[in-house]
Amino acid sequence: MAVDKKIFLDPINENNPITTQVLGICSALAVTSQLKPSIVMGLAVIAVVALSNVITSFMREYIPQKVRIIVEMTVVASLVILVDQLLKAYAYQMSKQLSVFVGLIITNCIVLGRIEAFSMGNRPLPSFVDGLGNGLGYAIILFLVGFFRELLGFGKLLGYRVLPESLYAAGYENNGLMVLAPGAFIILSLIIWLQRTISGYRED
Amino acid sequence: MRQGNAYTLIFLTAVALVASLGLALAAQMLKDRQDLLRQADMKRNILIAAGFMECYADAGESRREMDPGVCTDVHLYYEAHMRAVLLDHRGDAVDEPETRPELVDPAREADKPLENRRYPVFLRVDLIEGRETVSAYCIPIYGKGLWSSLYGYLALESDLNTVRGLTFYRQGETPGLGAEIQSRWFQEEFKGKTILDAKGRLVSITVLKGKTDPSSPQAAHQVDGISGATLTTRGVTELLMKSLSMYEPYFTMIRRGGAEHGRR
Amino acid sequence: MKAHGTIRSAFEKGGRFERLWPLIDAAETFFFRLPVRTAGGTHVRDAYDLKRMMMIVVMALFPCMAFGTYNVGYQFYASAGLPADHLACVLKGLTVIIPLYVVTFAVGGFWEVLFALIRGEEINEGFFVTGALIPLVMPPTIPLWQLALAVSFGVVLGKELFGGTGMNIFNPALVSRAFLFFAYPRSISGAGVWTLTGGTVVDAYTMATPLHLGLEPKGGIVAHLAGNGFDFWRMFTGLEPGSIGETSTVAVLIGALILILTGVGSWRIIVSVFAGGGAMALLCNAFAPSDASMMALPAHYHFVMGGFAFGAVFMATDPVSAAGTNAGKYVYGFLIGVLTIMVRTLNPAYPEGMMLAILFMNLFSPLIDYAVVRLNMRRRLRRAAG
Repeated sequence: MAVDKKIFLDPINENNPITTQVLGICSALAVTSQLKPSIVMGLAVIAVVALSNVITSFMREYIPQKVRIIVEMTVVASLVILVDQLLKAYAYQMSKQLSVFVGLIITNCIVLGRIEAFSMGNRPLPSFVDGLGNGLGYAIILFLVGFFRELLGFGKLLGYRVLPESLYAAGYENNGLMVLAPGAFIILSLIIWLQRTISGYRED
Repeated sequence: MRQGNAYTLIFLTAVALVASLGLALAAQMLKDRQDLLRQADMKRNILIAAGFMECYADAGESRREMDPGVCTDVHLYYEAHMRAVLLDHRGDAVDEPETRPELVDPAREADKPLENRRYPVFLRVDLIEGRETVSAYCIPIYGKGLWSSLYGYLALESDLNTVRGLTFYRQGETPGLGAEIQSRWFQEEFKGKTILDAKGRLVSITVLKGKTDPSSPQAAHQVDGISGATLTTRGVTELLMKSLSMYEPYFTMIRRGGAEHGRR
Repeated sequence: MKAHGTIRSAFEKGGRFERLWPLIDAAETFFFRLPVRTAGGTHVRDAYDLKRMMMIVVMALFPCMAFGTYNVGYQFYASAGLPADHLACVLKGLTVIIPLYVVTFAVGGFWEVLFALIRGEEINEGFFVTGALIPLVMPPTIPLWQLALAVSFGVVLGKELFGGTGMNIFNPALVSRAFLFFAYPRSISGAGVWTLTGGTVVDAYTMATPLHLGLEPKGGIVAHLAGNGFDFWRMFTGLEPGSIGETSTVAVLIGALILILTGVGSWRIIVSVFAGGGAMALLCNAFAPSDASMMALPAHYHFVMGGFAFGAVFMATDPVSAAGTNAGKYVYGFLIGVLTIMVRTLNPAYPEGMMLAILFMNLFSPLIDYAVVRLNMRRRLRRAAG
C-alpha cells in the first residue's frame, strides 16, 4: 500500500505543528534548555503521536461517537504514562529533569489534534506515517531550540564542552538569557521568522 | 454507527480494563528498577558531600545519567561506608524501619509539627586500624534562595566542627549569578571551614558580600560571596545556620563523647 | 555632480544595482536637498520631519553625554585616589565613551542598512536616537562584544522583527539593556561594574551605587547614604558611580527642558512619571517598617538616584512605544513611576526598576490607548444621544 509522501513531509516543514500551527509551545519552552532533554522529549512525543494514531485508527470503526474524546484520551494517557514509567526506570536523571512535562504530553494539542484530524478517518498505516511526521516536525524544532540554547547558554552540547577554554579566557561568557525560558521564546521566534520568510507563509 | 448505550458502556469498560491492566503490569515490572535509581540518586548526593566522589554541574545543568556500573558502585559504596540514622527533633535516634532516611524530604518535614519531624544523618564509617570509626557526618541542608528552594548536603569531619564537603543538588537561581552556588569554586570554599567559635558555640558559616579577609579572626567561619548574588548567598548563610542548629542537640550529645551514634 | 548623476541612474529602478537604491537614497538625503519637491498646494506649516525630531533628541542628550564623559574619568581618578584636573577626566572619559559609540553605531547601522536593503526600503534615521541612548544606559565597564550583541538584539529583535522604525512595541534601547541584564548579568549588576577602575581601589572610595547601598541600610537610610558620601546634592549633580549618562539629574533636566520647549518630548509623560514615583514613594514611606529600609527613602531621593530622571525624560517619552492619547500618557507615565518605586523598594533582587517598569508599560500602552479611545467614544455617544 503506497502512502502519500506528503503525509510525512508536510508536517515537518510547511505545516509544522510548532512553527506554523504554533501548538505544543509550552513543553517546547520548558524542556529545551539543553539538547539532551530536548531530544528525549522529541522522541517521547514522536512515540506517543505515532502509536496513539495507529491505535485509534484501528479502533476508529468501533468507537462510539458520543464518547470519542474520552476513548482517545484514555489511549493517549496510557501511552504517556508508559513512556513516563520507562523513563523513570531507564533514564532517571532525564525523567527528573523533564519532570511534569512528560506527563503533560497528554495535553499537547498535537497529539489529540492528529487523532481527531487524521487517524479517526484514515487507515492505520497512513495514520502511523502522519503521526511520525508530526512528531518529527515537533521534535526537529525542539532539537534546534535545544541545540542553540545549550550551545549559547552553557557552551556545551549534550553535556560536553564544545566552546574552547581559550574563548572563555579571552572574555567570552555564557549567555544567561538562553538558560531562562525567554531564551526559548527568542530562538523559537527566530526559527519561525526564518521559516516564514522562506516559505512566504502569512497569517490569515 | 453503533450508538446504543449498552454498546458504549461495554466498549468503555473494555478500553478501561485493557489500559489499566497494561499499565499495572508495566508499573509492576519497572518498579524495582525505578526504586533502585531513585535511591542511587540520593545516595550519590550524600557520597559527594561525604567526599567519596566529585561532581560539579554548571548552573542549571542536570547531573549525568548514571549508567548501571556507576549505579552499582554508588550502592556498594553507600552500603559499605555509610550508616543512616533517623533523629527526632531532640536529637534522639528513632527506630522507624518503614522510613528510608535517604528519601526524607526536608521541605516536607518542615511542614510537620515539630515532634513528628525526622532528621536523617548519614555517617561515613571508615575502617581505621581495624576498627569502625565514624569519620564524617552528613546532613541534608535545605532553605530558600532568591527565587527557589535550595537542596543540598553538608558533611562535617569527625570533630563535628570542620566542614568536609558541601553540595547543592537542586536550585533554580539566576543563571550566571545565584546559580553559581553549584559551581566548583564556591562549594570548595567551604572545605576546612569551621562552624564553632572558640567557646564551642555554633556560629555556622557566613557567605560574605565580597571577599573574606584572611587576617580576620572570623575568617574560619566565612567564605567569599558571589558578586551580584547577594540574596542567594544570604539564603545560603541562613539555611546553613538553620540546618545546623536543627542538628545541634545531636551533635552536642556526640561532642560530649557519651552518646553512641544511634546506629541501628 | 555629473558623475553622481551617472552613478545614480545605475541604482534607479531597472538599473544594475537596483537593490542597493536605499544606500544612494540615504547618502543623497543626507548630503543634498531632496530631488523630489512638492508641486501643488500643501498643508505643511514647517519642515518638521523625523530627521529633525531625532536631531533634537540627540541635542537634548548632549548634556548627559558630556557630563557622563567627565564623570567616567572623574570616578576613575577618584577610585584610584589620584588627583586629576578636569581635562584629564574628560580625556579619560572619552577613551571609554568613544569606543562605545563607535561600536553602537557600527553595529546598529549595519543592521539598519541590511534590513533596508532586504526590504527595499529607505534607510531611515530611526537608529540615531536609539544609538545615542544605548551607551548612556551602560555601565562604563561593559565589554564591547557584549555591547555589540546587545545592540544587535535591540535593533533586530526589538525593532526590525516588528517591521522597523515606528512599528516597535518596546523601546529598542531598553530592549538592548534588558538583554544584557538577563544574558550577562555579571556585567550589569552588582556593585563592581559601575566604576571604571585602574585595578586598585582606595578604601575611601565607594564602588556601589546609591541604589545598591539602599538595599541594606545600616541605620537610617538617608544617613546611611550620606555616610557613604551620597548626600542629596551629590546625587543631584551626579558625580557618582552609575550608568554613564544617567547619574546627573541636572544634565537630564537640561535635556528635559529642550525636549519640552521644542515639543518633541511629552511633558505629560515626564510629569506623570514623577507624580507616580512620588505617590508610590510616599505610600512606601507610610508603611516603612523602620528608618533603615528602602521603603523609608523620601521621594526626592528616588528622583535623583539611578536612572529615574533619565528614564522618565528620555526613555518613557519615546513616541513610538509610549501611549499616544493625552489621557493615556498620564496613565502610562504614572504607572511607570509607581512600578519603578515598587521594584526598587519591594523587590530585594533588583535595586533599580526603571528599565523594567518602562518595558512593562510599553507592553500596556496600546491597551491604555484602546481604553481611552473607547471611553471617549462612549462619552460622546452618550452626549449625542442625550
